[in-house]
Amino acid sequence: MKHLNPKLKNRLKNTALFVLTLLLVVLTALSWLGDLNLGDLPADSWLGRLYISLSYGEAGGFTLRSGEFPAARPVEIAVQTETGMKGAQYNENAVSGFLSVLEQPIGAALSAATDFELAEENELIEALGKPGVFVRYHCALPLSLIASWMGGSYHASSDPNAQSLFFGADGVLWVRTDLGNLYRCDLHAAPDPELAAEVSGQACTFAAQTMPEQTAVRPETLLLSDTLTLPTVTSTPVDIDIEHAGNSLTVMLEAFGYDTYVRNYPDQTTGMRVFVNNQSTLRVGQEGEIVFRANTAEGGLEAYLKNEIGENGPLTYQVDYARRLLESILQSFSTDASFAFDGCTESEDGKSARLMFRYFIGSVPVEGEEGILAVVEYQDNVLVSAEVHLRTFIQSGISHTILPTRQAAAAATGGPYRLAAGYFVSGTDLVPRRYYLTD
Amino acid sequence: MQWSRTKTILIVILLLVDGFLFFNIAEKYVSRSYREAENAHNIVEILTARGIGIDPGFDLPDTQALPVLQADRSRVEEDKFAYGLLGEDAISSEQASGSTVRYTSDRGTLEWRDGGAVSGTIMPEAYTQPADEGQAKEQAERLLTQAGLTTGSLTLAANGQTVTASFPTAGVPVFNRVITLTFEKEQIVLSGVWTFGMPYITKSGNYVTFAAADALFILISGTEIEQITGMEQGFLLSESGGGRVQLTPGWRINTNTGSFFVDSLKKSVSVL
Repeated sequence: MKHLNPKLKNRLKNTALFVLTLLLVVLTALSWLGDLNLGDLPADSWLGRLYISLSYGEAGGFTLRSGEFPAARPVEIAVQTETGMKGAQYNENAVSGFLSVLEQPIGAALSAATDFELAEENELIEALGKPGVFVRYHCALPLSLIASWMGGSYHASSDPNAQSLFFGADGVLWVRTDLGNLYRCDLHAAPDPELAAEVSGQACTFAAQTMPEQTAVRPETLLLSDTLTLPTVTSTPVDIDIEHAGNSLTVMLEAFGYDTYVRNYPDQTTGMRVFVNNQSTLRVGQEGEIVFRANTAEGGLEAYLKNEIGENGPLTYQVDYARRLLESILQSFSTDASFAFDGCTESEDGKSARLMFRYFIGSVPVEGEEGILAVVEYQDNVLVSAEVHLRTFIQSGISHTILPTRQAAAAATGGPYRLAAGYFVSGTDLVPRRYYLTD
Repeated sequence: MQWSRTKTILIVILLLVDGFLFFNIAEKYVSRSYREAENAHNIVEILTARGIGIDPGFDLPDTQALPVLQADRSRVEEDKFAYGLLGEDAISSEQASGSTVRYTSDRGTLEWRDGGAVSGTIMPEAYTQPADEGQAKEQAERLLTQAGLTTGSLTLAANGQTVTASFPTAGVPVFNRVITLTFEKEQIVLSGVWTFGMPYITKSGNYVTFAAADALFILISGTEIEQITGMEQGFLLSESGGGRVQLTPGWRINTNTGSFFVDSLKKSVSVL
């Protein structure tokens, strides 16, 4: 090198620097991409799509949804256009049909919500006569949660517990809360009811339109003339045979963060098998009972990272983590019973939350104690307690026709009520019934 | 400033960093290959000790992380499918729960059920039974196009008078998502399970890495088999409530006694 022309020497060094820098970039990219997985990538970014295309072939064959997987679906949905009104009630397939075209627009509309103000009943009654989209859930849910499930992100200053929503095509959102209060919010975006033009649904009306004199039911009560025929169901606890549970037990233990060979002993008093970890216990009873308790926050299950919380708040993450945990447990015991989020209570300081999940048969909730699948408790971002009751539901072969909403609304006195349907214990069976709900 | 010396120092630093990165990547690759070879060897030993044979061409396949996917039932697409095959004048009727929708016309009947199951008989105008596999495939292609199944990666396989249609998701097969058309003398019998629309995963969705070796162990621990002829990673469709179906990743293992699916979530075995 010493005898080389200084110009040539300089050029060689420059070339070496360029090549080595380029190599550094390539090797860093390779090293990073080698460890990359879809869990680390932003859900719907171009990088995510590129990764999917590279890993799973052209276009990947699947999509990443920006929303969370819903832990509850509406029990009623309807669209009103200039030409008429159609909807679905307690029919999961028909409701899914409407949601397939309205989910994203509803998410976008909720993302545009800003300030809510108290509204008068007669304003809503007037709005219900115009085009719009109506949605009702079995239990009241924070709007932020609904927005997240519909692929939106919630920015409004308040987060009312919504029982039902009416998105007027004129851009006004009407929200009925669990306490019966009525709020309105002006939106910049509203779902277009015409989007559901091709979706099949049943003819329906709002109570405010067809029986304006009937004040015993809420004006937004969805009225269908058709009867609803549902099967009677027998419910039995899942028999967890610890000695022979094999892989089912392994999956369940893994779901709670336990090793397969964790120390365990039978509890002589309760007859449950107790699995013991350093800072938590898991009790499994033969009658489908599973009880998880963490002695300290460190012994709990971390549902999310605190800095992960976006605009939708911690509840979205808490519900989603609990939903996935319960799905794993149900799947591990091959129970295909369906369930949904059934509300939560939060402590005043917002640091602890108690979430409830309820069994559903089709779109119809199982009411009472019999219907509770799980109660889980969080301290901040850690799941510290869970009580799960595993049950199976078998159709008994007998069908029950429940009172159509139109007749039930006409027969109502007092109120104002909401009309609901649910399964109730009757002898050894669960029988579907129409019932009235006050706020 | 002595630029020449600075450049020399930079070159040395870059050489060191590049060398470290290269060594790191190579080490990962080599150790993974070594682990895979060791796993394969151990599995062969365990299978042999249990008296289970392996086909000569069998190699333990690589494991790919697969997402647990959902697909919504699409009543609109089901309608299009049924009207495409039975004509626009077909009459539809559904059960109160909406789980089953039945279509009837003078060209046959069709039924869509929860979980994407479809069955029916079709009698197209001027129908004649195909003479050979080629004709059967052509007729099937025509019918499925009429029904709106125009997925680019749709694969048709003919066996005598029976044609099956399928397509992959995420680059791997969905073992039970198949429509079978059997061309009989007077009619065509249609059956199978299908999904419409793009399957999806949500932000907090689950990606499963379920090793081939683990799947084999689960299978042999609970099932009597004598010979393993092959295995392939893919999905199995199952009903997941709310009008949805779930695509669960797992392995299909072909043996002398039939094909089995080892579920990556339940860690269970089912017969395919």
